Amino acid sequence: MKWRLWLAPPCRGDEAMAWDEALFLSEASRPEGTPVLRFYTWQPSTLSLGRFQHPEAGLNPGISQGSPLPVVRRTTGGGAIWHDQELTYSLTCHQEHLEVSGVKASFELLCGFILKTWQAFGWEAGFARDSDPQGRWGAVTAACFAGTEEYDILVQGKKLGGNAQRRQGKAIFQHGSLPLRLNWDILRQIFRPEDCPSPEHVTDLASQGWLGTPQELAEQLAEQFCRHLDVVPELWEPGPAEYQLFQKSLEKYQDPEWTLRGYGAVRDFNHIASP
Amino acid sequence: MTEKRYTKNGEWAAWDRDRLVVGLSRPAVDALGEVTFVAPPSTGQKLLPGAPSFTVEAVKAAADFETPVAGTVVLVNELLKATPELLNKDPENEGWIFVLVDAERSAWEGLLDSQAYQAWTQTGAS
Repeated sequence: MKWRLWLAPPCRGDEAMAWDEALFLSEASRPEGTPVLRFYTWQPSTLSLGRFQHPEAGLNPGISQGSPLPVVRRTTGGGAIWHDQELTYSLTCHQEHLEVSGVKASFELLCGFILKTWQAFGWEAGFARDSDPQGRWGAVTAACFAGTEEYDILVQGKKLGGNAQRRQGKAIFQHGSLPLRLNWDILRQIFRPEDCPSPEHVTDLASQGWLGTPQELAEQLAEQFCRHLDVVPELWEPGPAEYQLFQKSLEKYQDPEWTLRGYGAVRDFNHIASP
Repeated sequence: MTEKRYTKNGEWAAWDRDRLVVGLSRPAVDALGEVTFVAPPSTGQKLLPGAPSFTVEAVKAAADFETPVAGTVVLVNELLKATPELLNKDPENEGWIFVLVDAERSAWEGLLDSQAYQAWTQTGAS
């Protein structure tokens, strides 16, 4: 099985989300298409809200409206993330591209490469559910990193990054945030005290002693991805078809109506003809 | 409600006199896990199969679903707004999602009956 690998340049939040959506709408999510794994960073740093998250939920007053911080709304659910010094991945595929079916199984499979990467670094890493099989997971939190869910990845007992999936029929999209270094001062300015992630429960790569660049991390993750899913990578960049989809999606992600009031809207992207 | 018919993706539809009640099957909800939010269609909206009609957000995945049969939405389950977990508890009764009018009975008859749907889910194809 071949996967296309796109080591994308840094981009603004609205562009980052529009590219992710363009890939989800492209042939990559169809059974006959070739799936895509993308890595990117955010420039400037941006706050992303979950698909159905109220723009003020869990945030200090004025953060999502009236502050100079760029804000976008994701197409995936969950809580808000401050994308700062991090590497983000996104992957787009069809159920038939995977050897498992079902949401949880696919999520476990598609997060497995991250787990393998941390383990290859020599870290004690596992899914949250394995660290405490009796644990109650899934509490809804306004900040993504503040919650712990079954398939969150823990390193030495602390959550490292967050991942979320979107599905339409058998088309699968997943992206995740991998913080190289969390800025706790900024996080405390953004999130209300009761919703703010804390260093007691959350970690980043720098705290684990890894001080490489986003590009170096992307290369390590890509290698583990190919090994874990037994796929062959093909370096790739979007062509005119994807760019056309990107332009269409960009209008939405630049529209404050979507960012600030999109939590009530049902349709957020065009339908994928998914058999 | 009377007999339910299903799509392969797990949407169900059942007649309540001349109105069609739509929801999500137990296997489809179980596959998603703990539901945190349900975004139903709007009342008055005309729905067609082949386009997303409602979205269910669970802890790890948000998934879009289609109406099983074309029709116009006249009612949505307001209880799901405050208690989305109702979808986990009772997806095929109290957790119904919306009600359609102007739905074609022949289109409904073309869906899977419960036996065929059960067989479909047991193949692992859902």
